[in-house]
Parts: sequence; C-alpha cells; structure tokens
Amino acid sequence: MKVLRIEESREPCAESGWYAYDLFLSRKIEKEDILSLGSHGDLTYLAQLKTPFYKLNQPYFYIQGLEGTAELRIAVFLEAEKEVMEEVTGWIGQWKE
Amino acid sequence: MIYLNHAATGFPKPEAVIHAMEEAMLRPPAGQYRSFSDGEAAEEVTPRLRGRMARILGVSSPERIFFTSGATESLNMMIRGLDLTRDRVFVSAAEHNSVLRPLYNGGAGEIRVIPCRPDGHVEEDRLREMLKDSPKAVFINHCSNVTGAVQDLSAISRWVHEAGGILIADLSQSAGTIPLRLEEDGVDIGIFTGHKGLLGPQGTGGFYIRPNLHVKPLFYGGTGRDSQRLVYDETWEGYEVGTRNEPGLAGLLAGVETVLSQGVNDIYKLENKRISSLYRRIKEIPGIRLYAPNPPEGPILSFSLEGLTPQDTAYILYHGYHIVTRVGWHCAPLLKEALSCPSSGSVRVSVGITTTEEEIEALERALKEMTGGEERP
Repeated sequence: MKVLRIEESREPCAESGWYAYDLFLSRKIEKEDILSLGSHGDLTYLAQLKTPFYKLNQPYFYIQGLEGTAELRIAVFLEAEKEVMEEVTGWIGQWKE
Repeated sequence: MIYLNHAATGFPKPEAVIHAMEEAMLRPPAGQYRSFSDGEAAEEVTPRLRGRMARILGVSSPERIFFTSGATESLNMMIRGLDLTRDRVFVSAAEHNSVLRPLYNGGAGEIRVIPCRPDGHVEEDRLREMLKDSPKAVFINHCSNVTGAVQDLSAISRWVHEAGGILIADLSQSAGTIPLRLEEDGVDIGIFTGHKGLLGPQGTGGFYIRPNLHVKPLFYGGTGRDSQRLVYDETWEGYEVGTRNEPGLAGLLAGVETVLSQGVNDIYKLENKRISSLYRRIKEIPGIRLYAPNPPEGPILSFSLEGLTPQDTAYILYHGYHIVTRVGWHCAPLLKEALSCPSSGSVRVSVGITTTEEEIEALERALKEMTGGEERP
C-alpha cells in the first residue's frame, strides 16, 4: 500500500503535547492490515462497531483509524516526529497493494 | 453531520445573521457623526443591540453594556481595569482559562480557588467560609462549560457583597440559553460572548458593568468625538475605541433578535429537554461516567467511557458516526480534581436550538454500540 499524502490533522491535541497527522492511503484498510499492527505495540480493535475502530499504542506515538477507510491518524510527541513517520510509512509500505 | 458542540460555537447560524452581516458589508459605513449621513442604518446597530442585550441580561441600563471581540477580551479588560494586582480574588474551580490566565499571569495579587462538587456546583459552604477573608473580587462561571452546572448568582452575590467584594459572572454559556436577571441578582459585572447561545458570529461579545462601578479602560484610542481631548480623567469609561466590528455587531444583533423572538425561556426549556433526554438515555450504559448535575441544568454534559480514552471516544463518534463532540479539559483545568475524570479529560456534548431528538437518539445508539450494550444492525 502507498501513502498518497500526509496532512497535519485538523484536530490536533496540542493541549496534551501531541501533534497529529492524517495519512491518506492508496486503498481501504482491511482487518488483516489492522491485525498486523499488533506486532508493533499494544493494539485495541473494537470489531463490534459498525465501522470497527483500531488503535496502536506506543509510548511515544499512537495510530488510530477505522476499518474500511483509506486514511489513518498518527499522533506523536513532537521530538519523535521524523522517526515515527518514517517507521510507520515503512510498515504501510509492506502492506499488500 | 450531527453537531453537538454548541458550547464551543453555535452552528449553524441563523440565515438572518448571515444576511445581516452581508448587508452590513454592502452598505456605506457609518459616518461616525461626521459629514456623511447615509450610514444611518449602521449607526442604529449598536444602540439597538444594547437595548436587546439589556433584555437578554435582565438589566435596565443598556448604556452600561459594551461590545468587544468576545468574552476573553472582555475579561482581560475587566481584570486589568480593576487593577487587582495587590488584591485577593476568588475563582471557582469551574472557571475557564479566559478568566484564569489573565489572573494567573500577573492579574491578581493572590488567587484562591473555591472548590466545586463532582457535578460542577460551587461548594457554597466553603465559599461562605472563605469569604471571611474579604476578597476584592469573586469570579463565577454561571453555567459550567464542562458539566452544565448552573450557579446560584443571587445567593453568591449577596454573600460576596456582605464580604465587601464584587461579583464578576462569566455568562459565556448562559447568555441566550438561560433566563438571566443580572440586576435583580446583584451581579456587578457580566461577561458574554456573541457566538454561542446568542447565535452571532465569532469575534463578538461584550460585558455589562453595573451603574456606579468604575473600571479603568484597558484601551485608549479614537471614539469619533471629543478629538481634541487627549487625556481623560479617572472616571472616563470609553470602552469602545477604534473602528468597531460593524458587520459582526450587525450579525450579533440578528442573532440576539432571533433569540428574543424565540424567547429565552422557551430556548431553555427546549435545550433542557434535549440534554435531559440524553442524560436519561445514556446514564445506564455500562462503563459510562457522567459529569453533570442530575437532572441536568445548562445545555451541556460530559462523560467518559471505561476502556476508551475520551479522545478515542470522540474520534469514533466523529469518524464512525459523524457526531461532533468536544474532548479534553475544555479550558477549565481546575475542575480536574472535582470531577475525577480520566487523565485526558472528558467528552463534552452540548445542544443548541437546532438539536433534534433524533440526533440525541443517534448519539445514544452510537454509545451503546461502542460499549457493546446493543447489537449492531
């Protein structure tokens, strides 16, 4: 899968020191993609929802989104921003086209 | 989209507000008492607005109402103008940062916090005890922007006056949504914003100062009259200086007239019906914690869900169900202790005159689905 573009989120949580980015992807995220995130940290997956929600928690960043959409959000502490973005886009690049 | 964030900004604005602002931009500007008379319509806006606002605020002195860019500017003007830098002031734990930050950044000599109960009400017994130390001013958020708790301004003003202080009420959430009677209740200064319950545009608001209470102006500048006089005496009350935001004030006038035509009492009943309905519908959801009086008072309540951060909850509500709420501490940081919320705050729901029962039902269904309390269709 490809990351088509990255935008600074319209809903930053600057109040708590986190800065968020929305990643727009080349296809919709599937359950298999979400479950693969589990190997990278603490994964929450609310499959009971009409549009299932997932969130990967790491100490210095988190990823969240909804299954079946072609975007996800990364929230990161400003100091770790560059490394985190490279790491996460690397994972996404390994997902099937 | 279901918009349940009216405590941040009322939306959508009435058509009359949009038209009034457009008209104000299209007509020749007011002549400011000089050379040009076609600005008559614009000249009428501010006096008419003062008159309408006097009805909203429940005061008989419209000339004691002044317009600014909003509650934050009004509060800074009053806090600096009262010159509290060597004085003791009290703030309720429910105050917004628009009160707290001007005070905590050099605006007062000593600040003491009046604790609140878990539903957001001021602990009145504690306040009465604290008042023995005679503060110069007491700041009270009339309707909490987190819990919707409405404070008893009449009783509080009586106690504050007995202690020799003045009462400054932040009406940001109550002006236009809750019947007000500032004069009867003995409020010395009332602060309002234009873009919430008054249905006006952002960048409008103002304040009321009771007669015979003098507050030194923070800003000086052109007023369109008395230009040769450069220095004013101590009693000068030129609070509206510089070119005014005429389109904004025209929009605010249209918003206020919409509120008055619907009636603040009826608006209060309608919004209370909606928020009370929500409270009843969601209070038994497993894992939910509500931060609001029971029954609700103002058009606001907050909640959190066990196992989900408030941020995740709001994200799912918006991206999964197109329901707009507000998440965090809502700029009221001192309520943290009273509410015992999760460390990242709460999800706030606030209703407006356009909120329907169907929208409340949709939020209930979403929350039940999120907590596993109901099968998804």
